[in-house]
Amino acid sequence: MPDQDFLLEVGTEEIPARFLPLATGQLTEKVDRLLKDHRIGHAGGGIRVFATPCRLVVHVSKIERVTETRVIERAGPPWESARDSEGRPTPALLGFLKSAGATEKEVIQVRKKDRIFVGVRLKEKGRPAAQVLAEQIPGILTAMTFPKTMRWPMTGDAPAFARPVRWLMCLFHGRPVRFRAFGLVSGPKTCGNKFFHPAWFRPASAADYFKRLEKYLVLVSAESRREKIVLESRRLLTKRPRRLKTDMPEGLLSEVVNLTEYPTVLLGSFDPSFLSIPDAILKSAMSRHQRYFPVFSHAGSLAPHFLVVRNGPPDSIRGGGGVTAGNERVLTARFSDAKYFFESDQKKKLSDRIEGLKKVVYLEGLGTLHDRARRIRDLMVILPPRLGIDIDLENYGELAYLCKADLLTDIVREFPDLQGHMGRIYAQLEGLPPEVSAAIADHYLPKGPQDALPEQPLAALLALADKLELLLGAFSIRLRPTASADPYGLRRASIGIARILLARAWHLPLRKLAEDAAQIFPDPAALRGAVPDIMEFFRGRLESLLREQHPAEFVSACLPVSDDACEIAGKVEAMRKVSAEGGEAWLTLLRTAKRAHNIVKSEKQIPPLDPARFQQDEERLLHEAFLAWQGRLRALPDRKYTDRLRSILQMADPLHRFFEKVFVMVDDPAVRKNRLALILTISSAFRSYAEFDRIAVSD
Amino acid sequence: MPKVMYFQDLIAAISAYWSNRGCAIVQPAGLEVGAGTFNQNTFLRSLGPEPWRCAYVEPSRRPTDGRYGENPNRLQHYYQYQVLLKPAPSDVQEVYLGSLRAMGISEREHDIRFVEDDWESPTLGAWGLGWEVWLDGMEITQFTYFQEVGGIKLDPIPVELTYGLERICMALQGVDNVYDLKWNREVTYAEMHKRNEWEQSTYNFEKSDPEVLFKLFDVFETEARRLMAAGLVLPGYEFVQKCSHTFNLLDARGCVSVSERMTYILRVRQLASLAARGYLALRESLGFPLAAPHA
Repeated sequence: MPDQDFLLEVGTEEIPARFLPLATGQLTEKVDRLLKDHRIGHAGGGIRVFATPCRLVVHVSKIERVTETRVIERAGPPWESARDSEGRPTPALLGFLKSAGATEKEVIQVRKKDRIFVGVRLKEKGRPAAQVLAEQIPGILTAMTFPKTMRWPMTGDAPAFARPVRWLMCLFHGRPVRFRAFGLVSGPKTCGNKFFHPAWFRPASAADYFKRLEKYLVLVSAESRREKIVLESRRLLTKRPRRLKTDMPEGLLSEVVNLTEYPTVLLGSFDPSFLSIPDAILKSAMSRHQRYFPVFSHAGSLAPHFLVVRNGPPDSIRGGGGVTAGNERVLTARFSDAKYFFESDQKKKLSDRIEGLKKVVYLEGLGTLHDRARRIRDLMVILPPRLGIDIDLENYGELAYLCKADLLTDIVREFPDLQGHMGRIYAQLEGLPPEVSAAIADHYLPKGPQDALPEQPLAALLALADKLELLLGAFSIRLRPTASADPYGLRRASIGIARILLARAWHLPLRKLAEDAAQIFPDPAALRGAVPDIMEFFRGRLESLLREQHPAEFVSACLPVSDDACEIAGKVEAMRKVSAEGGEAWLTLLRTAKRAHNIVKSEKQIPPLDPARFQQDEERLLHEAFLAWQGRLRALPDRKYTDRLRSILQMADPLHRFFEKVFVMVDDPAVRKNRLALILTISSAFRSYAEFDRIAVSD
Repeated sequence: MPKVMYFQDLIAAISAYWSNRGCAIVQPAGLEVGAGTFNQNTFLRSLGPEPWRCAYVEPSRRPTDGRYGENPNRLQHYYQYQVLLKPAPSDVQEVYLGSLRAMGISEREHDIRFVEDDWESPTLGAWGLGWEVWLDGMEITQFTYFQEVGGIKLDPIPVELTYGLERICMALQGVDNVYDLKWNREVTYAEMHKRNEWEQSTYNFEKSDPEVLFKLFDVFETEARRLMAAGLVLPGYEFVQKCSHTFNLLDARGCVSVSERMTYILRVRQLASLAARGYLALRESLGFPLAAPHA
């Protein structure tokens, strides 16, 4: 039975799994806009968009046959030029009425930007919705964007797509809708899973389409595919005599969901003797290379099994020759390779690989990995006195090189995600000190905003040096992240730098460091030139990091006055504390600081303060209060941010009273300028702590 | 028990299949190449408007992959089966599945998967999009819609299918070690190739003379430029292939410093681009004889 639905299917060759969520997002938005813009009503469950590797599907249930009729106002000539002095219609009005197909009786007034025009109301009649859709859909499909697109045999300016489009099916109330796109004409037919049910068929309705596709081994909904994978995995693992479990990391699960049209989970096994290889290698071989889910015993140790998700029905052949057996053989080959590499890697010590770093290019213009390691080492030497830490690097001269040595092992070449991890394992096997093996692994931390930080100070120092080298080096060769792309991970590096500094309470004026460290990079002048950009970029990351926990206004008030992340965070923290306890005094500070800044900010050429020019007692009193306050402030340690802020509160009151009693902008320029100089002195002192005027306050 | 698919039977079966689908069954380049793509039947013929279908075995050399005959899965010399279809037919995936059936692989008994894989050859200035095809989790074919070759945008777009013959045959014969493959009823892959793997690995990694190789590279490069300048694109292109292989040998010997590496790749790419442009000009001067006449 035909229905009242709209169904569109774009049949493709396998679109990369990572593109599917992007495709459904775009289609949902664009179809929604199309229906709204063209007033195509639909009463069902909204617009549903699905994707499998081989099809993109749009389903709108209970769609109206005809677009909604609407009334529009059309404007003609200005009202005053519509009729002549005797009230007769002018040629302008007659011409307009003719073009609009209306009579004089229908004329109304239309107001546009305070002018009145002649106008008429026109009824725009609804059109067949199927026709509108046929006109609009090709444009929607050809305008879809993907991270990478290709052409397939079509000449000229044919549109690009993620992969070749091979068929288009479109039904409206059960009838085919014809349009052209990608050199194809849409029709009423589709096909099932290409490996098992490649025959073409004509669904009678949307419901029939979904039902028959399922029978022909296509689950259009990613949600159903995901559910099937999760359920079958659980069933396979719990029915074993010894209970097994698996964790299904979201990234891998959604990839597998989007790699199949009809997932079926199979349980495979491998020779338990491979369990002597470190778990990380086995897991990486299974999940990264083969997209298998590793399986664990109930106690949590790796079990000699894996879950593979195939595209199609359960294995038709049991034992040798089937899908499970084939996957087992592939995994065995991978594990054998890994075992061979793991054993042969150990024939060479990490320190013997350092020389080889000279043969690996790092980034164009920044030399080799060996050069990078040398700069990391230099930073490790430069940093401690600046951070105010005492760390004996005597025994760790090679550490900056050692931490990159595992990049030259066969295992890491085969499993790049195990960098650092393998370094630690090999360092342990060689008997290197525990703090060295920990630093080798942990210097990559933190890998994300939520990731753990290096635990030991040595590892934290190495991690900091590593990230600073990346950030400064990349900016010195103009590799700056754009809004959408950050291929070298500079955002992550900056957030890492900030998090390590904050967690360790390491005060590091970054601008100074960047300027002083420039000489260790190949192009010091370029790096020095890039320092303002580096600071802006770093501040941006620090700002978003601090805003996660603190009011945005406090962060933007403290951010500009320092290039030391700990100082900025310390002041933000102090503001929170003082503003919470401060009451009226805090508000007075905000108001007077703002008032003071507003008065002086647009004044040019304020001369130095000259106490001899004071005219009123209030001026003298304020100046004395200021000098006394400066004395008290100097006695406070620099990093006692809360105490310093409390002290600033004490200075707000005298300034406030001064404003109440003294008129600053007097006519006598000398007196005026000297008063401005007094205010500027105090305002500058406030603003050396924070730009309080950025914090909103009621008057 | 079905009949064993010998290595040479596999080559015969896949050749018969593509022969029946209108491919010219051509022969290897007769030169040392890293992949079937270097063969002029792919590299040059994918350029320009003329249709072209061919299939061939390409003995391919990857000097750095040598393992002295000790690794069950890695070889410095192996056999690719290369198919080029220009323009790419719209049913190319179905036709490809047919070629698997011709080898005895039924898609209903196995799990065939097209997994995203983008291909690029920096030395040839070529790139394309497509997949690696998985058979029960094992990569057996590189399936690529070429987009650019020799730095030239292609129109029409060809599709390149590159089968890993050893891997497919290992799956068909159910062996875990490439050297256990039966070439025919009498000889194994080991008897044919194992000694060669050891000798070539020894040559590639230990005994090649870098000074000679550096000289050869320069000589080949000069020859390639001289010949192409004289309008002899085809012999010129042969010297481009020799340059590329010489570079691979130097790389395996660990003699190309990092800063030089990019320079060498660029030198080969410039030659490849010269050859591509020269070939297009040549075919154009002949009036693209294989192209359908314009109405």
